[in-house]
Amino acid sequence: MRSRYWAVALAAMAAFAAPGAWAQEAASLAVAPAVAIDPATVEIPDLGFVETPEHIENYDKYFYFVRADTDFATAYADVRECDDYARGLRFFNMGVDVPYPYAGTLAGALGGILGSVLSDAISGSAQRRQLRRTNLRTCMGYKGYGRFGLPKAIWVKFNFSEGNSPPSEADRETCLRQQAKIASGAMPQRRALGR
Amino acid sequence: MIARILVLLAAIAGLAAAPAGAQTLIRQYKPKEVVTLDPGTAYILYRSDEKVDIRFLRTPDEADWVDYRAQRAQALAKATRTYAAAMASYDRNQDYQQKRGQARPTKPVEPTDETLNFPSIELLNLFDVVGGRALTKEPEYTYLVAVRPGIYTLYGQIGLSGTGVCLCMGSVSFDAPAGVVTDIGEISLEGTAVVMAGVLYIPEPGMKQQVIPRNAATWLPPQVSGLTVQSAEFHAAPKMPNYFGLMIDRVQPIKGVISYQRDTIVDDRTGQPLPKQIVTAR
Repeated sequence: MRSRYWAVALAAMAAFAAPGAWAQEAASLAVAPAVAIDPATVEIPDLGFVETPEHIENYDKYFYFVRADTDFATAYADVRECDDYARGLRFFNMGVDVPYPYAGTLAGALGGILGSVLSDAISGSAQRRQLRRTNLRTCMGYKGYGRFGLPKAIWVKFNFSEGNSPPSEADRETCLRQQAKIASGAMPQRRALGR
Repeated sequence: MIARILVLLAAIAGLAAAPAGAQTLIRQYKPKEVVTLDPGTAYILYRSDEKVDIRFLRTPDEADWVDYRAQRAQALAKATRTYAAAMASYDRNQDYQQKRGQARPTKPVEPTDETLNFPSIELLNLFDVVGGRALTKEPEYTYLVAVRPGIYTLYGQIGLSGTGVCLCMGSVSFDAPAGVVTDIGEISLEGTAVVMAGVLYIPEPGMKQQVIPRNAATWLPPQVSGLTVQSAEFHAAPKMPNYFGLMIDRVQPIKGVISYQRDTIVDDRTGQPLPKQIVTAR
């Protein structure tokens, strides 16, 4: 019974972190889109820039992925899969852990959830963005994509971060298609970053 | 922010009507408990280098699916009734608010099976082993649980502070049959997100997590001496959704069990990629 409460409480937490996460989960980790996308219809920004030390300092935040000998459809399935792993990430309690004697009770779990709402709004957004970046690096890295840095001004044209305001589904889809076209395009002349 | 709170409150309200399933975790043993094997119950034993909560998913069997589909159908019927009432209210209020020059209300969305907000069956068939409730602490942390017989997958480590890891991109499954203790060896989950000085620390990606199968030299806790203990037979598991929004990773390769070609999961018994690479719900 206690494990069921935990499962339900944590499922509720997952729903809070990503409204509609259960609804989206039916389509999560989709291998290929239901309708083929013509990459010629996908507009991508100019990725050229003159690298400065300030750019390099921020490559941990602003990067993109490319893999040689990869077609658009494969890249699109890959970015969709990795985005699924990296979206709807959990809020962080930041010191509002449920006291252990109550850890197994539904009331305790709910108290932890409600308390962490406020702390997450204050301090969870930055960590959620960082966790998203880490999950993308892990997923795309395992898929063999190289990671390359960008200035923020170019990065924002085809990427999004999920702090307190995730993008709309339409905006997300636009960005994912752009990322897929770039990921299956020309290999940059710059040095790849590590995973 | 307000919208997120409202969604949370709706989720909490939904807990009262949360679907029920057969209990997966029956008990977790404490140090001084006497362990006797029930012929209808499965038992899972493992060691861990740290006292962390570890989550296992149970593969639903046919009875679980029958039960789940019935509960899901009930939930959809209820949501449909709620929608009908909401539409009636919407139609009434629309005229009223238009006359008063107020903004039009948001039209309710008709629920369908695809959009129904209902837990995945996997979320109703999981259990957690509480890290603070070890069977032994010396010479190492061991854990023993009694569970429903079935096939289990190591999902990862979970904590309430956003800590832990989902082994979403590669893990192992094993059968836990009734009447015996299935020893899955050691679970080592290094390199996961942890809280340090009140700040969530997210490590660099690295595939540091391991499952180390039991061998002849593996220490057995005294509580299971005299009981039937058998080593788990591991199988490579397909990728899993990040249900709980955690840091993701995968277990290190295990010879004869699981290896990888890029992100493709390989059944290392045959050297072939798993035919089903990704778990899809329902």
